[in-house]
Amino acid sequence: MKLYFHFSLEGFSNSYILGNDETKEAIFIDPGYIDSLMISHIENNGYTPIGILITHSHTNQTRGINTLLKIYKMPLIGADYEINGHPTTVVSGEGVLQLGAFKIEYFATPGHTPDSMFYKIDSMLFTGDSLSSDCIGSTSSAYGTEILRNTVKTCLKTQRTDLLIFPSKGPPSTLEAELKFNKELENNYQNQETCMYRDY
Amino acid sequence: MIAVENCKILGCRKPHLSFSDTCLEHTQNPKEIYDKIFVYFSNNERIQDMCCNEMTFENFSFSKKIFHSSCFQHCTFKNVDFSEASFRICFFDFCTFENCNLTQTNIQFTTFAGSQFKTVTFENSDLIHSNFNDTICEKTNFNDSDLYDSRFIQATLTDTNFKNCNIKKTVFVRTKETNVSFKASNTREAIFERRELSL
Repeated sequence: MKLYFHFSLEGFSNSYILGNDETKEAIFIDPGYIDSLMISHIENNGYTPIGILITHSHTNQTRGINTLLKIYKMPLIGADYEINGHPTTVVSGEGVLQLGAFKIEYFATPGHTPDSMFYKIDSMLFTGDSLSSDCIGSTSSAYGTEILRNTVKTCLKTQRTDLLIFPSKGPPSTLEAELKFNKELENNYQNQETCMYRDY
Repeated sequence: MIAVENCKILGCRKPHLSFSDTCLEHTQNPKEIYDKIFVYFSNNERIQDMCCNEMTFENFSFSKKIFHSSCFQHCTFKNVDFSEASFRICFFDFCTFENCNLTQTNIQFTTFAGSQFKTVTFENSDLIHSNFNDTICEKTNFNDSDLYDSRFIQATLTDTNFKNCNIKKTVFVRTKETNVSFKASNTREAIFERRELSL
């Protein structure tokens, strides 16, 4: 399995392509921006895109959907019924989804947005904006922050600690580092700033 | 991408090393694994999909090597030369770097979280989109480097220099700084407070 990441200056967010070299299938995760580099990566490797995973439906994660769906026919997977006017295969709560050769475990992590999801594929956890290295996502209220913190912690504590974390914003991390150092996951962490700013 | 599979020893949750089915702790013949891994490093310019967790490297040169999708968590590097090496999607969490040379490296989307750097130089490097959170940097030199969108959250920086660096969107939230210089760097574009960091 090969992971390709793309940093978009529009929204300063990460998009990922995960390709399976045996089956030549690929999935997109949070295609915030699609450019010729990403399409070339698919074409040059002979991949067939078989799905788009959306961690939450903010523009930074979804702007590229229209472009992708014009080029490739594939399902759009997210926790909202419709994203950018396209119907989705809805996931909610926790579960497992088989998409081609990819076994995708999903976990709802509401708080940053109501439709926030984590997707786990092999040893990789794609966390969107809900969890970034040493930070948790912004919310619109202290109550939202508490919900986010609890859902993220509940999800992380059931996972193997060698999990690699790929967020939508900022550099990658590991579960071991987040559990050890992320102050914003601690119950007694008080910082009004975590709920002051929102991005769209 | 790194296929992280557990050590075959029942109950062990550590990933197994490359060229082995156990972790370093449970390897019966660590020297044999070390030898195989060193031969691989010597024979390959591109170091890809390797798992070398908890290994120790001393007086070794990785100069001009290309690291891709590899795990070196909990490793120790002493007197190691990484000059002009490049790194993409690599994991160096909880490592110890002592007297290491990382000048003119090109590091992107790589994590060093929780690592300790002592007398290390990154001078004239591209350290973009990388994770230095919770690191302990002592006598570490980042001068003349591009640190765009990297993070040093909760890092402890002592006698460390960021002179003439691009620190646009570089995050220095909750850092502990002693004798740290940002001379000639664009500090107004860096992020020093949590509220400036939008997620």
